[in-house]
Amino acid sequence: MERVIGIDLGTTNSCVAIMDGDTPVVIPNRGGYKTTPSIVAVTEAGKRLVGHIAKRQAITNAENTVYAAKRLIGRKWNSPQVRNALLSCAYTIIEGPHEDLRIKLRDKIYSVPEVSSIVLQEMKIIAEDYLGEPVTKAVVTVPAYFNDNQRQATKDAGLIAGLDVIRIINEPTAAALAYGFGKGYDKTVIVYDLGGGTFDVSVLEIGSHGVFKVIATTGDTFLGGEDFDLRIIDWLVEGFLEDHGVDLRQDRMALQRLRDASEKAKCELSSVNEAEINLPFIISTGRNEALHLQRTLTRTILETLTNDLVDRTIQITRQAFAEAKLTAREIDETILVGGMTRMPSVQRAVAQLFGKEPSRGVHPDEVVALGAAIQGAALVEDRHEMILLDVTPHALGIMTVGAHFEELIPQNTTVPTSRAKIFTTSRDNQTAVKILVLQGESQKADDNELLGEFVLTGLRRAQKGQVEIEVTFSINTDGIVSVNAKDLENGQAQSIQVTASSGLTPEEVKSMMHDAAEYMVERRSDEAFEGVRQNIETLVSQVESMFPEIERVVGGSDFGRDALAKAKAVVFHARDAVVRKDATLCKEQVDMLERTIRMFKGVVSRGG
Amino acid sequence: MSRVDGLTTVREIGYATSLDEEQVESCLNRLESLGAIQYNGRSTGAATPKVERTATSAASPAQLQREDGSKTPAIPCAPSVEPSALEAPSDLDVARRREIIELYQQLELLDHYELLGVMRNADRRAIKTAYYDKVKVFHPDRYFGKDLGPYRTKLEQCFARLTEAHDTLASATSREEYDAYLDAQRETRELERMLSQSVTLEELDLLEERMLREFSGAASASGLIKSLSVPGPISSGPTVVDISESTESQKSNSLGKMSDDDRRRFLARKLRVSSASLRAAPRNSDPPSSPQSQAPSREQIAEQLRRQLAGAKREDQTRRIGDHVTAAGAALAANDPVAASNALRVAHSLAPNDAAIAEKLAHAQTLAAAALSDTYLRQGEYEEKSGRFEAAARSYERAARGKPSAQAWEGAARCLLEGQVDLRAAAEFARLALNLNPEQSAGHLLLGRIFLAAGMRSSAVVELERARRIDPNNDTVLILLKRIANSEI
Repeated sequence: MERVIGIDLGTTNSCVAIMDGDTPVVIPNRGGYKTTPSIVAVTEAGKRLVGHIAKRQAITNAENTVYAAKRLIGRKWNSPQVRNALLSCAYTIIEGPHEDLRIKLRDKIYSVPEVSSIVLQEMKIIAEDYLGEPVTKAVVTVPAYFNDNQRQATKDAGLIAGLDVIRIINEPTAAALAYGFGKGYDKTVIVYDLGGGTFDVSVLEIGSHGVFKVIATTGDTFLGGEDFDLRIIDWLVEGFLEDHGVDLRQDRMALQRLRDASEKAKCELSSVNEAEINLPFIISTGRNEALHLQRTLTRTILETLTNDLVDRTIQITRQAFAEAKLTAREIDETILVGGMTRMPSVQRAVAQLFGKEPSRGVHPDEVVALGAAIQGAALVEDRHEMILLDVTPHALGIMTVGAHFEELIPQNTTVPTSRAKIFTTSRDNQTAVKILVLQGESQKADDNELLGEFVLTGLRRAQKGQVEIEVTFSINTDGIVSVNAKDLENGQAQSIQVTASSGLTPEEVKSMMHDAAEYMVERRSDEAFEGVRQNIETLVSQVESMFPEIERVVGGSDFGRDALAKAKAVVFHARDAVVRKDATLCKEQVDMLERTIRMFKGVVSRGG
Repeated sequence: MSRVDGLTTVREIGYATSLDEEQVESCLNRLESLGAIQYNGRSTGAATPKVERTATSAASPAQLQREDGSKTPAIPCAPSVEPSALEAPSDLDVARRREIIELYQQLELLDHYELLGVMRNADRRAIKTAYYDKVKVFHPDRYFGKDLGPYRTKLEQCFARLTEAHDTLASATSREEYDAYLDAQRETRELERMLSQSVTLEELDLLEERMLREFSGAASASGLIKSLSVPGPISSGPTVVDISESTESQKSNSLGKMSDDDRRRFLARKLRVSSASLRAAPRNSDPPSSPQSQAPSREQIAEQLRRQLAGAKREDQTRRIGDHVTAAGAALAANDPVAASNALRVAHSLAPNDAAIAEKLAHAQTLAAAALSDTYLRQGEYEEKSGRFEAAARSYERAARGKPSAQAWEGAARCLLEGQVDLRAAAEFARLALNLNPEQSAGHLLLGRIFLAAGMRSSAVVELERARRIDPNNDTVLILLKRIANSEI
């Protein structure tokens, strides 16, 4: 039976896990790491890099290294968050068709789901390497506060990576699942998930019957560790500007180094009180002079720089349990998720809010992937110990007269859910009705997220008001919206055209899937070839190392000269086969090389 | 009547015959009063499952309990599932299919408590536990990757309804509102039933008249007519109809109604008299009985008897009228205007020329309507909030007709518009609301929107302009006017 992996597609780092019997386990990558940076790069040679090696060359290849794609996925070009990112990202973000985004890497243009799909593909490979079998099914997590566009885009990323994403689940829910699975708890918990790019808070009830029910969820999809880093960067840049009159932000490489150093310092300061930031030759002035940056960041300064961010998370947390109609005291347990929750000021603030220490039983970097793996197994293996009842984080509605937002499905409604509304024509012989579907909490339609314009086409020609179409708005367990329409007169399905919604069209997804699949095949054969190449290299160097000896022993004779010439020819052909990447030829050359070596050995032993 | 089998509930009958609940109940009441059917201690369909059903749904809705002993048939037993409904192709096993269908059939019939299988006074924990148990069966994830065939949509609806029930009851405020709504519903139904019962008394009178007409020519009429006369002890067998007894019990019932049993017996006897051989001995010697010739002519006897009857009836009637009026007075004192108006309505029908009674009746009716009206208003508000626009419009209308108010008329108009039910009526109601409260921009705006929906642009503009004059800053009004001006709508 096919196994399902759980992937935590994080802003900064990703993690993959699988259910091993009754326990979920994290799958380490080849380097032995349990998490993989969500970083994608393209080298000058056009080679694609993912994960740790991409991160390592980020500084030298800043313009063509993408990080934190999750902050951009599913967003529109003219949204404030994208504007923000434009200012601080070292890589190039450009506008795409229908308000979408594109990222330029070297000479190729990628959509954001494509970039994320590269990371997902890497996680897939990690799992396949470990399990020794192909993996096609996965459960992928998203922040609870992601809207429909962001969720769709994440699902697209999975598709492009060649994964059947059987479920999208919310990160805090996954964490609660990992926390409570099989433990028979009967508690009300709050999950405080402060990750690299997003912040989520969810209030859940964990029942002893194995039901995990989300009561309320809220958050901020543009608040996370990256923002803390940015504060440090700002502090460094401003300090430098004052000292040297140079704006480090102008230099992409400098910016990248600053980012790295800031992140490192931030992490250090979770365990020590002072961290030194030392970046020699950070930038060169026009006058052939190199400037250095050296500064000490203390925990106190860091906390001052980031206090408002922590406060904002606490404010959002209050909103969450108010929405759940609970007081802080009624929460039995706080579960901290995400690397940022290691920061002492964060832990302090949370402990203060709830009047008790947060739970220490979960690993903040791994718990989400573990939860995803549990859910995957539960769905596919027909396991019935648990049922997840999640909610939709945003209200769903339509735009009405006066650009008002008419809510159809309220925020925090348990999914799957649906609501029907009857629409009719306002003019005789009207053949189309347009509905604008939105998601959000504002009463004004413009402040909410437009999911799409749905046009009911081909309506029966009739007097106004005679045609009644029942439109059903549904939100499924992935939290994804779908709209269906039915002509009430004859019960026939009514066709709907979706226009003006952002994101990839099915055709675009298909073509990207094709590209990704080709890349996979290429990569696999690359890897296989790699083994052969290395073998040849070893043999070649072995042969060449024997040349001096052979020369000495039989160099003078005809036989000797002949042998050497032949050996050199073999080496030449072998190298050629490598360059051509011709596997069959290479194999032959390996044989030849091995025979050559045997021959040489024979000569040496007889002659020397 | 064929539907009354001791197991089907009122709502289910309505479901099956496409009548609404009140119509069904009034029919049932009529049948009951005619003695044709009987309510078994008010719990029709108590826990005896039908023979052909196997004991699958053991822990399911069949064992629901209603502790409030209301008049509505209590335990809605799981209706039998047609075998063909279980045969559609699906990955589910038969027991599960049955479970799903059984719950699905009852979705509209049960209230939130019944659906979850908890008592009205269940605490939050019990409600959650009940919900979680049900969810483990009805959540779609339980059947992930399986092909459920036609059972999937039913399952999804069951889940949606269960979740709605849980969400309403889990929050203190919404539970309170819902409880109030259930109470209001029950109140209005009770009140309506009482109102409709007055009809049965009149019907009895009519029946009586008819029987007299039918039998006045027959020999057996003598026995009948004697027995229909003034009070006296019964000396005959059960075939004799005894009006005295019923009059007695009428008197004893302060609401001017007979007790159920009495009425039933009364009518049963009446119906049986036609076929029974009347061996009744004369009950008492009435003055008008003929003492003279041995064999009075048939016509003479008939004439005598007719006079006898008329006299007896008149006396009886006077007494009855008096009883009813007294009863009405008592009811009013006890703050029960509906009962009072019932009693007075009967009195009025017996003495249509009595001005005093007519006046009392009008007064009581006004009070009754007002009492009902508030309840209907509450009901309408809850139904509108839950999105049940048609039902809400009905409730609002009833409220308005009972006690006219701009609020009630507007509510009715609004719901008719929202549910796209009946724009003409909506306009009428909106106008009625405006008549009562003309200086309110919301009223004009509503009428304007109704006109727009009906495509009457110029009328809409008139109303919207009025709204604007009253409230110049209302965004919606301004935007609508602009869009009409630009021919956008």
